[in-house]
Amino acid sequence: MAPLDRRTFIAGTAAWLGCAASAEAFRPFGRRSEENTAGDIRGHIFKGDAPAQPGPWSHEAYRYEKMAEGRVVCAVCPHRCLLSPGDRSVCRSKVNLGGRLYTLAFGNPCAVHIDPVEKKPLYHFLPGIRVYSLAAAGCNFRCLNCQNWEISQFTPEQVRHEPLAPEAAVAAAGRDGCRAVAYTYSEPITFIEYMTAIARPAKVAGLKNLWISNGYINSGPLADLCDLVDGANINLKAFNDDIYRALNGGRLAPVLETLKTLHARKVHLEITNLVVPGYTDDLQMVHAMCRWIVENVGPDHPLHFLRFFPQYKLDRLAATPVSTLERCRDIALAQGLRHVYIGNVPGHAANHTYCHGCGRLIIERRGYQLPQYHLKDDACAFCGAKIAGVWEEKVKAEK
Amino acid sequence: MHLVVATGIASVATQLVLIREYMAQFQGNEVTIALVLFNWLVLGGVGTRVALSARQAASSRLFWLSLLLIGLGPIQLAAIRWLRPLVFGTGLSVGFYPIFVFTLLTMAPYGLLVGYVLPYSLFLLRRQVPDYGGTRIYLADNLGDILGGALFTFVLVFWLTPLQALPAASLPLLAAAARLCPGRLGWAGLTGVLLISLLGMAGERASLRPPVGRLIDYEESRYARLTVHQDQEQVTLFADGQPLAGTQDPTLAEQVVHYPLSQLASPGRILLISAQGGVLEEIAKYRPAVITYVELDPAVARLMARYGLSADVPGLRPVIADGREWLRHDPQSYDAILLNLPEPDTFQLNRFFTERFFQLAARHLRPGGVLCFYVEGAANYLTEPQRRKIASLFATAGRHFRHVQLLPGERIFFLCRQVPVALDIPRRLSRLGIATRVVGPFFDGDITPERIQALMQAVDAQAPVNRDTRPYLMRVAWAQWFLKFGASPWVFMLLVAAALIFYGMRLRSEEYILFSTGLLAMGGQIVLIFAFQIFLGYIYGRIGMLITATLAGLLPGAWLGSRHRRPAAGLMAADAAILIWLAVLMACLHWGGDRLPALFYYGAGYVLAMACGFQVPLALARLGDDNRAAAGIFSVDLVGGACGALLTSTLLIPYLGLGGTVALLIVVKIASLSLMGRSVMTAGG
Ligand code: SF4
Ligand SMILES: [Zn+2]
Repeated sequence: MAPLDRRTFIAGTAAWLGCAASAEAFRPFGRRSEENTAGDIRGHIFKGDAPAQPGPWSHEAYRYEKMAEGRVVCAVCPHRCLLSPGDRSVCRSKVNLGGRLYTLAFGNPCAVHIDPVEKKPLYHFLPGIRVYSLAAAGCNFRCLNCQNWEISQFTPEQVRHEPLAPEAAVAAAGRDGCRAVAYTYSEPITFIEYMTAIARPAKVAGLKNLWISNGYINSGPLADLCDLVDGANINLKAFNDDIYRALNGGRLAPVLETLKTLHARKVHLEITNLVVPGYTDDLQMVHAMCRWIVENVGPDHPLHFLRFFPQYKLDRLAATPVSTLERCRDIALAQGLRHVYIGNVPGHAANHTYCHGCGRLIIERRGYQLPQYHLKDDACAFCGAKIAGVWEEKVKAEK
Repeated sequence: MHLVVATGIASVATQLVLIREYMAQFQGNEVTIALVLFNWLVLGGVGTRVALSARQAASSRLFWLSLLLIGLGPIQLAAIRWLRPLVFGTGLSVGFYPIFVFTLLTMAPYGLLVGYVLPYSLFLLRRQVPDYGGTRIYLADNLGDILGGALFTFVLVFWLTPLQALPAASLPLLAAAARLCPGRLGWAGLTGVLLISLLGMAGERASLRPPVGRLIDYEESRYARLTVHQDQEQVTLFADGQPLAGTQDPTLAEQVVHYPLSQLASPGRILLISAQGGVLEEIAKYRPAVITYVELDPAVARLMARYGLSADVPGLRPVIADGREWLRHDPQSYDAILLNLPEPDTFQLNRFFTERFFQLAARHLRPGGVLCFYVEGAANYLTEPQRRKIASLFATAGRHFRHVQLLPGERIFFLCRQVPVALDIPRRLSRLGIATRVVGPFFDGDITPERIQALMQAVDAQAPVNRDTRPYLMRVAWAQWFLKFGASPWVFMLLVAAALIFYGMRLRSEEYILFSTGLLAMGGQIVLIFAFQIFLGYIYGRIGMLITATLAGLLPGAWLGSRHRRPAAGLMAADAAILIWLAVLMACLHWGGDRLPALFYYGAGYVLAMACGFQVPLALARLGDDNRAAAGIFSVDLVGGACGALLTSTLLIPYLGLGGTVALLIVVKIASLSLMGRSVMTAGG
């Protein structure tokens, strides 16, 4: 009987090895925390997924190159999608139709809301104003904890939308008492044609343009945006390329370039960093990030450490402990950053603005209300230190 | 023979441990249960088929197989815990297909082996006693199943953790196997298995270490795996791996409490169904006379209290009960009923979001009172399933409340009253002198009139009503789940359908009868369980009773069947009985199952099982009780059960409702009956 026993044993072992092997096979679906450098959840091109012909929301794309055999390359973001006729881009909103690149997200926003500017978050940009905020479907990232996956991870055809021509958007923003238009929620880079088509008349109408983005964009399009955008919040997801690939499906370097460019072009810039436990809460990394910021774009741009909450696919983790955020903030301040905030923690003292000169509280924030405001023009009312930002006399938050 | 019973005990306990483990690792919902059952039964069916190819059955081989079975349990469990984060990453939930493949692969060794051992034992017994009946093996196996199920449900789950329960349930098998021990090598094997078990017991907590922070408490409650993690100063209670309540989240607590209570001048009596960290403190700000706090799981209540997630505030009356069942018998009425429940994506939770529940709540509210509940929303855009869910809830609540006001956000709140709902919540709070960190300061910027209006436009009173017996929300929850993971259920369903058709074409008519019986036994059992929990509450011990009763009926059924002389007539009679049973069940559900006592459900389960068990020996008799037929029949029964489990809970009940499901089961049975009739005629002619 011995051979049979052995056979049973071998069969069992083989089955287990099979399991382990298939675990390996699963890797592309999964992701690993920072110790693993193999994980990459970068999006892919959707072969043959384009509609048959341009629809009512199609518009020829901006900045692309034509190649042999009807193929095209989008030049907007570092993915540089190379699309054969009939293909759809990584960001899902661009398609190659008959050798021309089209965006499918022009005039069909799926989310339009009026938000306080603090919600973007932008704390140093005309505090208290209302912002006409809109988004079309699509994103060039695949963040596992996306807060707006309902629109960022779908094609423009898959979501409900309302028709809104660029001029109509500008008119609506003015009508609703908004001082600015924000391109936000999903990733505006993926509807850059629509965004710029609104931003131009908005600028003419005296509205500000706010760009809320992951900053994953090439230098050419970015230069164009800098001409139009008044304020930007760039989400610096991590200061580690492996995490960028594993958690977000992008790369770090282009985002850092974006920060440098915005700084050089003097666009008002605030930086957001979401602190995800087990992923981006490594204090040494936070330290390196803050040092890079100070050295490359200076100490003046506000930095927001946001508290993570279970979200989208990353929903089996606890929220970030508040003390972790406080530690991050301490590190940033110690590195010389002047305005460091803690976001998503209601009532926290690090929601307020303190003067880097005299240390006194100059803007108090209670939710979206501003009970105290001690800025005179763009300087601290107490000591006269200049506070970076776009200011004017306090804009009354409407009640 | 002892070995067969012992194998049954060990395997059922393992099956239950596995179901709980997968629920803790993936999703504590019916899809996971159905998938695991499906995999288990299919693997068992395949293992049984494979056994046919076994040449000479030998007792030493059976010894080694049993040993392997005992050793595999803990190894398998440890492997699941180890592989889960390795394969899918830290803190991530995964969709249907990865769960399916992962569960199938990780349970394959055990599942195949269990399926193999049963017929193998039969072959062995037949070598010793040539006319040993397949029915007896079937009986022994079922006896083992019942004992194992009862042992786990009523004993092990209360006292032992999974890695302790597995060896405990395997003790009988170990003893039975020891009698077959083929010498020194065998004893070495036995020692090895014991060592593995001991190692497992010692490693329980280590294998549950969280990816972030540390594990400070751990309890296997009757309903879920509860773990408490501490990261820095923050303490979070997890149920089945999903964060349930934390010490640093004032937002939800404030919303749950202040949206509804700010509507009232002075709330005196409040009913809170389940709680979040900080909720009780927020309620206490209104100084109500009575706060009745109902929690289903005593372990949750205990851990919440131990870690400061629920405070002892004046007027607090904690109750451990199923909230809905408790409310049904509660003579009191309230100024506010606050539901603090996770997303209704299980049948058990769906019961708090149905028309009947809203009716019940409305009846228990004082004039001007308010019911408040919430479901998942979205930051800026509702997916289509989400929108349909909201619309259905709006329509459903609207049947019993004149005013249903929705508040948008990542959680959408429903405020239901007979009088209008006020939206100037921050003003009301300041008038009442109640300080808040979230609701007061953020309301005006987050819950803007424009967002409220957009949300109210997205719903309509004509949307399908969510009913107990037709859980529309379940359907939408499945759709949302698949959408989130970018998958479609249809690929799977088509594959199963194709496999079924292929399989069905190769079956003989007796096999088909048994297949349909297996399907019905499992499908009927699931309908019964759902009906029971809908009407009589989700109470662990009683559901356990129901399942045990349903299994227990198989034994006398099979025994009676083995004494029956005319197989064809018997099979048909049993089929007819099952048909009648289904018709009676349908009538009962229709006329309100909540008026029936628990005993009715136990009895119904028992009777169904009896009829199903009755058929096995008859089919064996008709097919000629040789090894091949026996293995075939065991396998068919298992595969039928697998399909029943999967189809009923993931497809039939959400789409057809309980009544529709029963109707469909009736069709399946009629088909089997007519097939049998034909085959009897042909045979007779
Ligand atoms: S913007 Fe979209 S289409 Fe263009 S390169 Fe990036 S992902 Fe591709
Ligand atoms: Zn100053």
